[in-house]
Amino acid sequence: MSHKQMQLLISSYIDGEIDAGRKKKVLEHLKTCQECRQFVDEAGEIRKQIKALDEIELPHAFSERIAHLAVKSEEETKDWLGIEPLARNTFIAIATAVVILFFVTDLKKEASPSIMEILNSGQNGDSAVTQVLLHPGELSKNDLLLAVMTK
Amino acid sequence: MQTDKIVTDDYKLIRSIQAGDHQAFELLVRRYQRQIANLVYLTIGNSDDVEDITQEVFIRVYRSLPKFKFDASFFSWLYRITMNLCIDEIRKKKIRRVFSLDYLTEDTLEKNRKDKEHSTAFDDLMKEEKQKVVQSALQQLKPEHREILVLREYQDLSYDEIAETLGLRLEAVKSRIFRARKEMKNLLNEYFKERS
Repeated sequence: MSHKQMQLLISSYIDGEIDAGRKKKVLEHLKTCQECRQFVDEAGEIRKQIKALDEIELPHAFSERIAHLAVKSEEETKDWLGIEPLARNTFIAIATAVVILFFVTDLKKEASPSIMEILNSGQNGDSAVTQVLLHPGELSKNDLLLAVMTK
Repeated sequence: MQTDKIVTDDYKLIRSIQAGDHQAFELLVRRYQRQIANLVYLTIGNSDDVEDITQEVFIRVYRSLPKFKFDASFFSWLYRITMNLCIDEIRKKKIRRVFSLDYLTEDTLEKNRKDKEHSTAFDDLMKEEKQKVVQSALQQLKPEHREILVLREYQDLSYDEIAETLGLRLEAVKSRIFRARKEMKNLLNEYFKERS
């Protein structure tokens, strides 16, 4: 067994997490190995010093305050929109779906035909200009130019 | 540390909380508040934020308890919540490891002693300095080494409990504890020299 493997065993021995057979091996090794005895001693000191670290003092009535805060925070969450979480989540889902639907529909909405498209469909120029002028808000520069040229 | 009785008591308390008993939650907080506060302190190495983080831990616990299904022990679940919040805090504040092992040198001790000799007994000062050294070394450990050493040496968890809490195999627990001790020993080298 290498020295490192032995120290691994010693570490478990320090914690009392070792079977009787291995414990015997460790104790025999410790009789002759100064370095490992030092390891046991230092590990013990590390434990002692960690345990000796000052404990954090929480204020009096900490648990009462936390319990009160937790319940209050939960109630505030429930009170959002005055409805229970299930109803609230359903509401949010429906609202999101409506918004998405609105944008998708808006994107897919066919734009009003331009003069060139109406002309290309075989109608005469005047009719095309009239149709376009019926939607003045949607006139493009090209439409205006074509309307002037057609007239 | 976690006896069968505690586990049973936790089970009863949690069932009561899940049934809407607020008083039971207060009892649960009282049972674990000291352990969690110290865990937070040893993890972040800064006592100023301990109370706030501990508070946040229990508020999260309260919110999540309705979903708790006893797949793991309550402590290991509580521990995970605590560690996640500590990690967030460390990232948020980018807590710097400001401690130095120079605390151990005679010059520093002497200077501090002179500064405080009228207000603090020398023994108290030595104890305080020792604590700073140990806390400093803990903060300099690799996070996984600090975590396991705190669970073993401070919280007194058995290897089985550590394995469950950290989701590790038993062999991994043994070797990680060993490596953590080695690292801690190296960091405290000066301390051990002074001691001998």
